[in-house]
Amino acid sequence: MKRSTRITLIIIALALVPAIVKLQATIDPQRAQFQPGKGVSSVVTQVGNNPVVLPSQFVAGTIIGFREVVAGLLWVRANDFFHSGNYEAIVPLTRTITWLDPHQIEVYRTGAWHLAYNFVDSSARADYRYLAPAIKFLEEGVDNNPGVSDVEFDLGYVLYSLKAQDFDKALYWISRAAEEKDAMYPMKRQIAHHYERAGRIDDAVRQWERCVEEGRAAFRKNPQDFKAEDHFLVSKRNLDMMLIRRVMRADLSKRRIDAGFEAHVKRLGPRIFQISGTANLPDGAKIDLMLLDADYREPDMESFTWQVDPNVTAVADIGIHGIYVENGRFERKYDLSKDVKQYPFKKDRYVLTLTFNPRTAADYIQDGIGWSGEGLADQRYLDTPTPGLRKLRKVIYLDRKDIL
Amino acid sequence: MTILVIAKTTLGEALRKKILNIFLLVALAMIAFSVSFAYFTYREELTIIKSMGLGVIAIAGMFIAVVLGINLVPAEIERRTIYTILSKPVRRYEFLLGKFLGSLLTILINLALMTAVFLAMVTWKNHWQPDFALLKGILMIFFQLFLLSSVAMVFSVFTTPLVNFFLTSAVYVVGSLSDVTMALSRGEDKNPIIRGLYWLVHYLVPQFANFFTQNPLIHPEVAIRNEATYYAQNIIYAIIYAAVLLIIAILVFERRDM
Repeated sequence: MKRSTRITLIIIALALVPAIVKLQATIDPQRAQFQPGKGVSSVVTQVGNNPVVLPSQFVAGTIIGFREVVAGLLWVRANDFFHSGNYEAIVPLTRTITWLDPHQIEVYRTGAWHLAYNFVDSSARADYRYLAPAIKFLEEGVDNNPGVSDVEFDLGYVLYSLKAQDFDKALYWISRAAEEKDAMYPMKRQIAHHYERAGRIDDAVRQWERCVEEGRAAFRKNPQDFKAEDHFLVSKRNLDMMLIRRVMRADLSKRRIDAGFEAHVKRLGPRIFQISGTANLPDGAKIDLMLLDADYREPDMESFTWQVDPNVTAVADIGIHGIYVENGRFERKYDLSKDVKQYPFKKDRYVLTLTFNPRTAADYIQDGIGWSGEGLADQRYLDTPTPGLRKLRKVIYLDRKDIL
Repeated sequence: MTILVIAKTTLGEALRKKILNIFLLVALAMIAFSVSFAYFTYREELTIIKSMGLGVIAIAGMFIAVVLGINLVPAEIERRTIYTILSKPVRRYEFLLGKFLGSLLTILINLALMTAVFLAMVTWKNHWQPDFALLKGILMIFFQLFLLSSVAMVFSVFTTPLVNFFLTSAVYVVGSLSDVTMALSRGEDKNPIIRGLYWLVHYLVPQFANFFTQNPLIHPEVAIRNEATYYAQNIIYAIIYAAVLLIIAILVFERRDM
């Protein structure tokens, strides 16, 4: 090779280096915008007694850029745990997977469901202490996947509504989900249901009307759109039913039923007690039970950790898990002696709260007492925490010796 | 013309290499087996099949590119065929470029086969709806391997295959840690010399991480802003970088005693 050619090639190579640097500087911010790894607060390596050790081949995979493949393989592994009922092993895996690839929607949804529902005691009662981590996990899912309705809907419906019974927050998240581009019709109908749960009956009626119009318009536009037809028919039926109920329940406050609510707790043995009481309510009405440390505070979401406090005791039987009323009486035995880890009872004082919330009651019960307990009365335990809501609530303070 | 003849010969030799065929067969089997994860929800299933498929193609392609690249020149020297070739009216740069082009054609054929199986699997699982957007990912994988081959080519003109394997692999790993090197080159609490060192690593080592676009491809919710520009920039980056590496390879090879 001639010397001049050689020098020319060297000059060309050197001249191209700044172009490489410039291109890389242009590519960097664009790559950071879509690549996984952003917006995840931390990778927590332990939940309960299950440390997460990422096998070396997985670590190698993630280092050289195959994060999604590793995440997929870990999810396959998690699925095996799911089928074998080993839920505790799944949770740390889901955390690792969403760190590797924060766009795994189903992993967020399933992980949060496991946290909130599947850490159970020997009576299949979910560990209430995991509800806050479940909510935090899905909130992270929302942050990492803006515009995806499924995650927002699960946060509102599966966690805040069904589990935490916080219908205002549920309404917020379900409404957000329903506004997303990928929202499905049932999400819009759930807004109406949750207006009802939150005691906002006029808003619920307006939402049903919107759903009826939406379904009708879509179906007229495309008569083959059976989802739109279904949306129209279901919404119309529910709107009609709601309007009838509004008339029927209009003057319940003038003929209130005295619930005669009373509740007792009786110790049967160490960590074994029985709850019993009376409630003049239709059969099937549910009495919520919460037994918490007297100094119990809801976890601070800002200083969130996956490690639940092993010293905290929280027993929750709420919503569909509440104690059912039959023939004006309710009764349930609690044997917590087999679940010392879940219910450590390490504090000196406890608060046992028994509540009947008319807003979570079934329609046939509400037909007698109203959406918010307008037709409900009680001499001793009527509780009106917010204007318009009339609950029944008895609080019993217990000492440690009353339980152990 | 000479370059094309050498490329064709290189391609023929490469296609006869058992180890490359084994990589290809294993990759094809893995792509096909990925559909066995059929017990998830529809969305999860597609996510896993797509991520597995793109991942397997990228990994298999990487092995094929490295194994092919590290043997390009040393194998000719070892078999002494290079002396026969260079005794003919073939310039050294033509020999190198022909070898490089041959390896690229081999990679292209392997990628095409894997892509065909992959797309067929995705189409089958996606209710017979083909997802041609995945081809963008394959394009990025090809240019990543194009860059990787040129790295292997440079080392192959002055090192043994074993040393070359480790050198090329090391460059690949460092180049895949783009997020880390970028963060370290910008860390304000770091010593300026250390920062400068990481700056050099980040901007002068080929950044293979640029070509990892699997995430937006497997998750429809994730989008690349100015997608066409991003892909174009990466392709230009790969071509320019490979050009620089090939010039270095030619310059070194020209001065090598044989």
